[in-house]
Amino acid sequence: MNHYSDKELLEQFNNGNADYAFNLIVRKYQQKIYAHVRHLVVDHDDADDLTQTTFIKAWKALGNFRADAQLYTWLYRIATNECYTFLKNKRKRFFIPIHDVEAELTEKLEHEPSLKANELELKLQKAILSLPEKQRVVFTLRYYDEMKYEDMSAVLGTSVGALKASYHHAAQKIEKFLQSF
Amino acid sequence: MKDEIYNELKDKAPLLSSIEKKHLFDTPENYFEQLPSAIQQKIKQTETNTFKTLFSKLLKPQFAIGLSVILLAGSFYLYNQYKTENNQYAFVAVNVDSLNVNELSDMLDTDQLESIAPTDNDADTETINYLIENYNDLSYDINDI
Repeated sequence: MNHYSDKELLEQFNNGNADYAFNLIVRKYQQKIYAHVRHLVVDHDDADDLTQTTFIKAWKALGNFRADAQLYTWLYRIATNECYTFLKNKRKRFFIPIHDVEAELTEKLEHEPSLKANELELKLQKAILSLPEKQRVVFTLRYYDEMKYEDMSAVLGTSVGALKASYHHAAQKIEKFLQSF
Repeated sequence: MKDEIYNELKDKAPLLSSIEKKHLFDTPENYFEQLPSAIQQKIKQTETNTFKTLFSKLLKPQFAIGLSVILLAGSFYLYNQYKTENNQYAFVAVNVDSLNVNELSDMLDTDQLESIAPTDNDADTETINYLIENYNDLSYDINDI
């Protein structure tokens, strides 16, 4: 784990040390980005592809990255958009109605060998997958990534107030889901 | 931040807030050690592919035809421009006596005019001064030089 700040890494990237600096950026954020993506798409291979795509897109655009923006919210933004596109394409490709993609993900979750969860934790994962897509992203960012609402606002382009409301709705729905079993 | 999130949930969703948060999904062994080099490799591959795609697009018949049409049209335009300019200079050369200065400047560009018009009279003055100093025969008409 490197201890460079985002600002230092970006300076190195722009001062002719791009490969080295980018490698450090990947090492710094790979686990967070992967975990975020994995919560949204469940499958490891899909999460792996999307994480790699996220960093490749970041590499291509990093030269034009505004210094006033936060690198980590920017990476989350790319990753989240990649997940949205992935799920949208999945629906289009298989002509599956919206809820069926989530049903497919739930099915995957039940048979996922790499999921080390007890009954309640598995229920929680299923409850999260039962949420509407945008609400699921909001819940994941707040609950698992412990992101500030201001940063979530930068990632999702939604107001802080709307995000708070969305998170509370999501939490209530999950609570009901957990209590119903 | 952890406390803030917990407090946010404990009243509204007590069951949810009681669940211990942990990484539930396992990854293959050494996954995060290998991921950065896998990404770097893909980046290099993408950069090579971008060049190859561009090159192979240029080789496709429809692009080749399009490119040929553009090149032909460009060559035709440049040839016509060259021809018009040459005709103008030929006309000026034949009719230089009957054209006044304004007509000449309209037909020729400024650079052309500067190269034709005498701009430096110093050389002539120097020649005349040299002749006055070196030829004592005053009957010699300086204007004939």
